[in-house]
Amino acid sequence: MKRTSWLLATSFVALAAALPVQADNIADYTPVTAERLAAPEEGNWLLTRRTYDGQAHSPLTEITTGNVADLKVAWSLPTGPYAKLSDFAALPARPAHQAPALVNNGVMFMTTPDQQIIALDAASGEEHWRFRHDLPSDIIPVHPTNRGVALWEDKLFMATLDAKVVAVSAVTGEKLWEATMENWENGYYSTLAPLVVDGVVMAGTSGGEFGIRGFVQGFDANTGESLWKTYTIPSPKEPGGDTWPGDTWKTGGGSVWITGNYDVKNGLAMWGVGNAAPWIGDMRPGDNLYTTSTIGLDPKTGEIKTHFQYHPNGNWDWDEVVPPTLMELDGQDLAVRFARNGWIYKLDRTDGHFSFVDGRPYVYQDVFTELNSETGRPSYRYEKVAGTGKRASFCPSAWGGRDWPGDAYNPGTATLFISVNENHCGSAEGAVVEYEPGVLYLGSGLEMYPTEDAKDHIGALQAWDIRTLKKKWQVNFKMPNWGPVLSTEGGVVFVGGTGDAMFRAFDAETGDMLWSREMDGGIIAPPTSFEVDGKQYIAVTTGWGVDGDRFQGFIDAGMGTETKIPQGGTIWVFAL
Amino acid sequence: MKTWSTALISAPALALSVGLAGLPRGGVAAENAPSGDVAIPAEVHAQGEKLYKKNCRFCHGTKGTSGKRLSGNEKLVDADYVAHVILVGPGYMTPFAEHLSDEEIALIVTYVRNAWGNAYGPVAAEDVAQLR
Ligand code: HEC
Repeated sequence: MKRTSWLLATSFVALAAALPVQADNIADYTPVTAERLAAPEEGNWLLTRRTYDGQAHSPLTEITTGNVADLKVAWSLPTGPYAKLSDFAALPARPAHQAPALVNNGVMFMTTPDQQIIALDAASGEEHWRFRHDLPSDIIPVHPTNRGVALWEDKLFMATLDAKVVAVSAVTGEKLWEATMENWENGYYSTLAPLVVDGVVMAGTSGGEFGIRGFVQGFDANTGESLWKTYTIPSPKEPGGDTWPGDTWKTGGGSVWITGNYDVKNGLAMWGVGNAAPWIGDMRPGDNLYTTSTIGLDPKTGEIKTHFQYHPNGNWDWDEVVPPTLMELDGQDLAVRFARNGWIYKLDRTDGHFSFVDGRPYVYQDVFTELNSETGRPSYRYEKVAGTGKRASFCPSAWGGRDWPGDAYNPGTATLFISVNENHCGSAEGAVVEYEPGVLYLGSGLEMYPTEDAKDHIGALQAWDIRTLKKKWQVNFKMPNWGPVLSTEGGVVFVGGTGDAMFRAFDAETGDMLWSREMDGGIIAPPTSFEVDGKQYIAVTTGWGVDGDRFQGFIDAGMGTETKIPQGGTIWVFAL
Repeated sequence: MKTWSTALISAPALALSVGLAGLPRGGVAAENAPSGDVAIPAEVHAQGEKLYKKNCRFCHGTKGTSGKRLSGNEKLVDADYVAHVILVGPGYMTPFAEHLSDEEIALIVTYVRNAWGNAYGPVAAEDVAQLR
């Protein structure tokens, strides 16, 4: 009965949403330009991770280690009412809020799992308008969530659970265009925020678990016209096509479900690519490019210019969808990734091509024996690789050392902060699976169990010196940590992520907890920071569900516990 | 371990709740093996199929060959087990206890136990009720 209570608790099931008819147009909306995206004003948060390099670091300094203890609620707003997401009786997971509050000169944009965009006054929380994208009634969202909008000029872009990209006026909330990426009935769906570079709106879709063929697609921001579509799984005629036997490339997975970063200097959009389908590697012998890789592509043409694969012929459902965090350090252009497979990869990208610099594990991982010092390619322990009819156990489990929640990087101290989960392992055994469009195509079950050490902790927040790749500190949480991290120039790091619904602030240098507050729900949305009229704010939205819930379900089953995590669904804004 | 033969004991209730009137009460071997000769009325089968497609297809496939395989799966001989799985949702399977009625679950259990070459006989709503 472990999850029934969660489903009962969900308020999404039956509420009909009556969208307010009254929409208040936004006067003096500041258009978002290429220049502003490349170098945003200190008080704004225009991209999911604030800057194209994905650092999620606010340069604001009003809130400091010295005064953060005085942080108070400035305003809060429940994001409902919500639309019914599906006619399906039981959603496979509670809908989760995973969108950052973007702020453009005092205007905030938030999205909800039922595909609404809400425009608000960032200082008061007063609503300007709401837009809702209606979903087909027979859709069954396996990951009912949305990770936010992208901004360009006076438009907003949202990717939807029925695999569309929708453009909306930032001023009025009216729909401008809608483009279909793929047929949702075949298992394609989107949860990510698009990425806009120079008027090209890029997005991709989830659906690796349904045997889709992943891609990144570029659209004209003004018209919605498709400019290019680059598959993450090459056909036999394309480079890398020889890494897939037979027709396996047609259903090879490689989904794209986290917003890419953009290397401004080299003109490369860097997208993370998910794992291959089915999950078991011997069903598709070969490296299976570009699954479990980062691809660097030209936003104008979609051409793949460089790539780096973290683990070839993947076997453990370790999606590598989070793009590397980009930084310049001691004159070197780096791309640093804490991979879901449990290892850190430090890559050089100075000439626009990835080359391996260094790597090491950041959580216990028992699959790799080493990374090749030249190429970064791992060697596997045979007994840790499941096959068809061959059982194997491995650590960490499918959810990895980190999942999708974003890390943050303080460029002044060269420190990267990341939410991790450890002390959980998984096992799998392959079983022959037939492909059917829109039906799960895993080739194995999904098993996870907490280890003995999980009694001490599962979640943690780690701080790493990127210069030396040495860990500076680690704070442990008994519960798993699903919190995207916010770093600030005031030396304070913010993170939610634990099922006890706490929102916490830490000293970036020492890891000491400086402030915490119990919220109305667990936080898996990224916190952001912005400024209006000279005042610094911290924003975060509660809304627990999806994978955080599933992961907890497995932990509870393994430990014989029953954990009830409040769902929330409220935008919270704090200030001194 | 209880088997589908419990369905026989409660055949009247079954007939009432899922419209199984006319189901042969005899001729069904009460043992843990596919009997192969259970005639599930076409209408009951169709109702079960509809519910299956809506609630189960996207994980188990139209033919019961995706995800955890249901076609040719000998564990389906145990009707209580199948109903229990639907109620609680093991692993990442959705728990349906709050969302499907006993009648609906009985129709689905009957369908999956008698589709794609499976032939394990029908199940009654009241058997599902006992498992709640
Ligand atoms: C969200 C995906 C999902 C949905 C929807 C789903 N299942 Fe399952 N089902 C699974 C998974 C995963 C397992 C294996 C669970 C485990 O790890 O033991 C499973 C197991 C089962 C089993 C047990 C098989 C065995 O060998 O032990 C049966 C029977 C079953 N499902 C029937 C159904 C029926 C009938 C429905 C519709 C009412 C349904 N399932 C809906 C995912 C799903």
